[in-house]
Amino acid sequence: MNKKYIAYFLAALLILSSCSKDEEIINAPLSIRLQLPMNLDNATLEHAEATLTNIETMVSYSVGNFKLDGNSYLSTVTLPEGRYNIEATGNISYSIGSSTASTTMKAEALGVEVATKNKANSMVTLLFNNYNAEAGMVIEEIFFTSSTFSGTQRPYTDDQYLILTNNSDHLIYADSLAIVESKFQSDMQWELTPDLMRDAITVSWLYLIPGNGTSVPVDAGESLLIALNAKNHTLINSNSIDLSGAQFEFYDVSPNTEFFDEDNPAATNLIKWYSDLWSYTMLNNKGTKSYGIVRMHSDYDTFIESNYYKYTYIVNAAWGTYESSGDGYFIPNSWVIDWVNLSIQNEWAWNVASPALDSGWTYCAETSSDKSRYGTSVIRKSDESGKLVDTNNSTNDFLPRQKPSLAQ
Amino acid sequence: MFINRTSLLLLLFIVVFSLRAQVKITGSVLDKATQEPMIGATITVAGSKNIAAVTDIDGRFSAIVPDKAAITISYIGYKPLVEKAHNGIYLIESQTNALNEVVVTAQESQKLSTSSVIGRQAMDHLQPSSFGDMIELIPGGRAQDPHLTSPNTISLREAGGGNNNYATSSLGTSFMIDGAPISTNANLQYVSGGTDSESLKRDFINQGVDMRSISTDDIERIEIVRGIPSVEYGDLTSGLVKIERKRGGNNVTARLKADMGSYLFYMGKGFEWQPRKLSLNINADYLDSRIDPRNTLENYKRITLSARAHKVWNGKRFNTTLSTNIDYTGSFDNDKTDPDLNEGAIDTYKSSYNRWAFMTSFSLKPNDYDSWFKALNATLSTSLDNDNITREKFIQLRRATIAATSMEPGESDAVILPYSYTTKHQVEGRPFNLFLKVNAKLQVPSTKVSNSLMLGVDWNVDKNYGKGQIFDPTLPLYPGMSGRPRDISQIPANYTLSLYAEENLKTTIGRNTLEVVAGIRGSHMMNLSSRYTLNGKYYWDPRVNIGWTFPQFKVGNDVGFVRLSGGLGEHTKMPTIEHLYPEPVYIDLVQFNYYHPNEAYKRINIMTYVVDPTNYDLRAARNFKWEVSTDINIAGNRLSVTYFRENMTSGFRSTAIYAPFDYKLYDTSGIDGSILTGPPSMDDVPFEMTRELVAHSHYSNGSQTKKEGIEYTFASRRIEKIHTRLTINGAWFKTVHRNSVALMERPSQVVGDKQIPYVGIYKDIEGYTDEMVNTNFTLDTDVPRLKLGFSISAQCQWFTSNQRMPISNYPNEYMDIDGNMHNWTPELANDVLLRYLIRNNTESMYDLFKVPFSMNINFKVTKKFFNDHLHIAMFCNKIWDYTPSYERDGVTIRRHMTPYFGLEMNIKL
Repeated sequence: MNKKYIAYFLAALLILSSCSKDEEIINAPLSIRLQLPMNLDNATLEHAEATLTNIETMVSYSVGNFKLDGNSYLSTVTLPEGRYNIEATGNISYSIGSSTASTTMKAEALGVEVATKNKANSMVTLLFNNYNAEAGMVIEEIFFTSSTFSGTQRPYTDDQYLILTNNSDHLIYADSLAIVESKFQSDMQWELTPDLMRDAITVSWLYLIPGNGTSVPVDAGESLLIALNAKNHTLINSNSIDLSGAQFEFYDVSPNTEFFDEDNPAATNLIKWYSDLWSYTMLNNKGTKSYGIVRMHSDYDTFIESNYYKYTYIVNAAWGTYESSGDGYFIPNSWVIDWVNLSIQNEWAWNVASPALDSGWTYCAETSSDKSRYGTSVIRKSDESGKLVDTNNSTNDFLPRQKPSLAQ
Repeated sequence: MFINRTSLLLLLFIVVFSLRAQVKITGSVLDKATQEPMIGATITVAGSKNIAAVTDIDGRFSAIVPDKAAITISYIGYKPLVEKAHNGIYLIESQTNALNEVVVTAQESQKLSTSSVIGRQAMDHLQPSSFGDMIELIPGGRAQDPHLTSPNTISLREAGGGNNNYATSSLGTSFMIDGAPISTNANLQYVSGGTDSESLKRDFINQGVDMRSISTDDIERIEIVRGIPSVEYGDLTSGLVKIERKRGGNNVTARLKADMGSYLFYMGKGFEWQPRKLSLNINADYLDSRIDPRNTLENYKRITLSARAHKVWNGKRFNTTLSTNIDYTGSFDNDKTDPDLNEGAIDTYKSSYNRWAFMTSFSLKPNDYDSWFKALNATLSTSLDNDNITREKFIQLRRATIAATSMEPGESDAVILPYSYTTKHQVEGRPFNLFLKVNAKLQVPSTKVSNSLMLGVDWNVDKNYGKGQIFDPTLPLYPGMSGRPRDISQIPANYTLSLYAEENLKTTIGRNTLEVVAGIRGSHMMNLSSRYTLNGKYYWDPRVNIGWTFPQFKVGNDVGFVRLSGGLGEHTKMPTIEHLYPEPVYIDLVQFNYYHPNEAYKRINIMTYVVDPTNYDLRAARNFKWEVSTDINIAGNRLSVTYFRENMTSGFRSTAIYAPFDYKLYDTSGIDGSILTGPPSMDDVPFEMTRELVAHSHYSNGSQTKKEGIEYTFASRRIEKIHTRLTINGAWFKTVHRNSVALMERPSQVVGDKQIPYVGIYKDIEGYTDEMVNTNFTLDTDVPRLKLGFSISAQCQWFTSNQRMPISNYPNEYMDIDGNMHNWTPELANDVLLRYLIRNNTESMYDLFKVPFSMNINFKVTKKFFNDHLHIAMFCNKIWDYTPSYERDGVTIRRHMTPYFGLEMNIKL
C-alpha cells in the first residue's frame, strides 16, 4: 500500500515540477503527532495513516509508520511548503469496563502550514475523536409518540416508526446496523457505578437489520422505513398512518397471548438480540428514552458474552437516597453511527449518552402528562442543499413536535 | 382430690356447727355496677375464717350456715359485703368504680386472656361510622381518617401492613355477633384477571371481614381478644372480636352524624315486656360516604336492618332463654368515571353485598345449684349473601389483541378482538353459611374451688351458590389475559367439625387466688377429596391461661392488688373455599400466527392447557402465641402490661409455580398470501416442537408473620375535684413478614429472541421488619352537673420503622426449560444466560427507614340537653398536630396533617 502512495507521490512531484518549472520547490519536514482520545483507557493505535492534501495544488501525500512516542504516536514526513488539510485514520483498541472495544477513528486538521521558516509549524498534533468513519446514515425521523383514535382521543400505540436516511453521497449498506433504545431515561438522572457513559451507551433493547453485508443497499439520499408494526393503520384508526410500505418491522415472537404481535410477511423482521423486558417492544411514547443506530462490530455470541453491563446507581427519591442496581448491554460510542437524545421539554434531567454523540436533545411532550404529544414526531432539519443537518446536536438538528412525515 | 377435700370439709362443717341449727342457702353474687356474675367470690360466716363456699361460673353459691347468721362475701378489688344469710342476690361493689362511672376509653378486660372491652359510652364518645373506627381504642391504635370507599380489614398487634400475602392475620381474626360468626370463607367476590384499581382495591377475599359493613349503633359491648381466646372459639389465628348488641329497653333512639366524608342516620326502638321477660329490638341505619365530598361518582353506602327478640322463662327446675336475631346488611361500592372526562365512554364498577342472617340461641340452666350440670347452650346461625360485582367498561385497544376462548384443553383458533367494544364482567356470589354450636357446662360442686368444665361441639358449613365469573370471553374486560367464565356453584361445600373441652378453675391458696383456664380444641375439615392432605386431618389447639393474684394490700385508705398471668396456645385457621378450590388456570400458547392485510385471512391458533392450580398439600394456617401480663390495681388506678410473641409460619400465600409446556411453533413464512381465499390451513405448514416455562399461581402455606410486642393500658381513677380521668395506652409492636417457603422467579430479560429459559428458586424472596411505638394520653372530663363530657387525646407515635431483611442475590436451585432442577454453583454466575438469575439487590436496600416522632391532638365533646333526651356531640381529630419535617440522606421530608371533624345529634325518647 505504501508503495502505491509513494508512486502517487512521485507522480505528483513530477507533475508539479513539470507545471512549475520556474518555481523552486522547497521541501520542509513535518512531524505529525496522533493523539488518542484522553478519555480512553488502555488505548492502542494500529494501522494509522495520515493523508495530507495540499490546498493549492490538491496533491495528496500519505504518511504511515506511526510509532509510539510517549503516550501518542509520531511520524515525520518531508513535503513541499504550503498549506495542507490533514486527515488521519486508524484502528484504536481500548478498554471499557472489563472488556475491550476496537474501532476505526478519524482525526483531521485543516490549513496546516508547512514552511521551513516557520519552525513552530513543523509539528502538528491531531486528536482522534470518537467519531465514526462511516458517518452518513442518520435517523431522519422518530415517530415515538404514536397516535390517538379519532373521536375518543385514546392512545393507539401500534403505529410508531423510525426513518433512517443515507445522508452521504455514496451508497451505504444498512445490514448489520442495529437500532437501539437507551436503557436510561432522560427525566431521571442516575449516578452510575461504573460509569461507562463517556465511552459507551447502554441499551434496553437492540434489533439488527438482517443481511449478508450487501443485502440492504441504501443509495445516497434514500431512506429506510422501520415500523413497529408494518400495516395500514388507517384502516383501524383514521387518525393513524399507513405503514404497510415499511421495509422492516419489529416482531416479537412470543407464545403469550398477552404479548401478541403481528408479523406482516411483506416487511422483513428485525433480528432481536436483546431486550430487558419480556413483552412486545415499543418506543417510549413520552420520549424519555433515546434512540440510535449502531454498526455492530462483533457477532451475536461475542456481544452477548462481552458487552454485559452490571451497574449500581444512586436513587434520590422523595423519601431518601438509596443504592440500586441493574443490568443491560453497553455499546462503545465508536460503534454508534447516529444518536438522538429525546426528552420531555419540562422534565429533562440529563442526556443519556456522551456529548460526543449528541450534545443536545429534542422532544414532543412538553410535560410528562402532555396529551398533545400524541400524533407528533421529531424530524431532522434539512439545509439549503437538501442535505439533512447533522451537527451531533439534536437541539439544533431536529424540529420538535412535528406532524409525522407519513401522516396523511 | 378436690372432691375428697370438699367432702371432708363438709363433714367438718357438719361436726362444728351441728350444735346449732344449720340452714342451706343458695344465692348469686353480682357486680353492683354491671350486674355481671362474680366468679370465685368467697363466702364466709361472719366471725369465722373458714370459707363456706365459693361462687361458680354463674356467680352462684350454696352454703350451709347457722340459721340467721351473717355472711361475708369477699372478692379482690371489691368492698367486702356483710349481709344476713338469705336466698337470693348479693350485690357487691367495686372498691373504686363508682356506680354509673363514665368510661370513654377501651378497658382491659378482667379476664385472663388479654382483651379490650369497649362499652356503649366509649362508642358514643368516639362517634364512629363503622366498626373500623373502634380499632383506635385498643393498644397500638391511633385515630385514622375513615377510608370508607375501600374495604377495611382488621390488623391486631401488627406493625406495618404487609401485603396481601400476609392477610392471614385479618382472615384469622374471627368476628362473632351475639354468638354467631360472620363467615367469609365462601367470599369469592373478585374480578378474575383484574388489573385495574377499581377492582383490585375493593377485593378483600381471603382477608376476612370488611369492618365497614358493621354498624356500631346497636352494639352494647365489644370485646376484642388480642391474647389467647377460649377454645370455644375456633377458625382463627390472630384474634377474636365479640360483639354484643343491645337488648331490651323501651327507648326510641335516633342518631344523625355527619363528618367530612360521610353522613349516617340511625333509628332504633326497643320493646320490653318485663313481666313476660320478653324484649324486642329493631333498628336500621344508613351510611353514605364519598371519597371526597365533591365527588358523587365514587362512594360507599351501607344499610343495616336488625330485629332481635329475647325471651326468658324462669321455670321450676330450669331457667331458659331464647334469643333470635334477623339481620340484613347491604354494603355497596360504586365507582364511575365521569363520562364527560372519558370521551363519553362508560367505565363503571359496582359491588353490592346483601347479607341476610338469622340466628337463634338457646340456653338452659338448672335451678338446682347442687347439680353437676350447670348449663346447656345451643346456637344455630345461618346467613345467605347476594353479592354482585358489575364492571362495565368501554374498551379501546391500543394494539392488535387476541383472545383465547376455548374452555377445553387442546388446539383452537383465537379470536381477534375488535378495536372498540363495550363489555360487562359480572361476579355473582351467593355465599351461604350454617353454624351450629352446642356446649354444656358441668361443675363439680365445691365450696373450695370454683370450677367448670365446658364440653362443646360446633359444625360449620360454607358454600357458595353463585354463578361466579360471568363474562363473554370474546369481549374480555382485560384483553390479553387468559381468563374464562367460572361457575362457582359447582364447588363443593366446606364442612368443619370441631370439638372442645375446657376446664376453668378458680381457687384461693392462702390469701392468693389462682385461676386456670385450660382447654383443647380439635377441628377437622370434611367433605374433602382424599387428594387433600387436610382430608382426615385433625388439628388440636391446646390453649392455657393462668393467673395468680397476690393478696390484697392497703394503700392508705385504699386497697391494691397485683395479678400476674400468662398464657400460651395454638390457633388454627382452615383454608377458605378459594384456597381449596381456586379457579382453573388456562395456559394459552400462540403456536400459529399468520398475518394477512385482509382481516378475514388472518389466523391465530392456540394450544390451551387447563391446569388445576389446587395445592392439595395445603394445610391450615397455625399461629402459636404466648404472653405474660401483669395487672396492678392501686387505689382505683389500674395498669396492665402484656408482653406477647406470636409466630405463624404457615400463613396462606399465593405463589408462582413454573412448569414446562409444549407447543408447536409454526413457520408461516411459506404461506403464499396471494392465493388464499380464506384463513390458511395449518396442515402442511412446518413447525418445530417448542417448550416454554409458564407460571401459574397456587396457594401455599408460605407466609410467616412473627409478632412481638408490649401492650399497656393505664387508667387512673377519676379525680373528683376536676371530674377528670387519665388513660394512657399504647404499644410497642415489632412484626416480621417474610416468605417461609422457597419461591420461584424467572428473569424477564430476552436474550436473542427468547426469554431467559431458566427459573431461579430462592429461599428468600422478601422479608420486612416493621416496628412502632405509640402512646395515647387521654384526659376525659365528665361534669354531671353540666351534662357535659369532653376529652383531649394526645396520640404520640414515637416512631415507625421499616427494614428489609437481607436476602441472598443467588438462587439456591434453578429449573431448566425441561423442568429439571439443578443446584446453583458459583461458577454459573459467568454463564451468559444463568447470570440473569442473580438478583440485583444492593446493601442499601436493607437500610432502616425510620419515621420519627409525631403527635396528633384529638378533641371530642358531648353535651346532653332536655333531660338527656338530646345529645349533641362533635369531634375534631388532629385539631393540632406536631409532625416535624425530618431528614433522610440529606433529603428533607415534610409531613402534613389535615384536621378531620364531625358532628352528631342523638335523640333518645
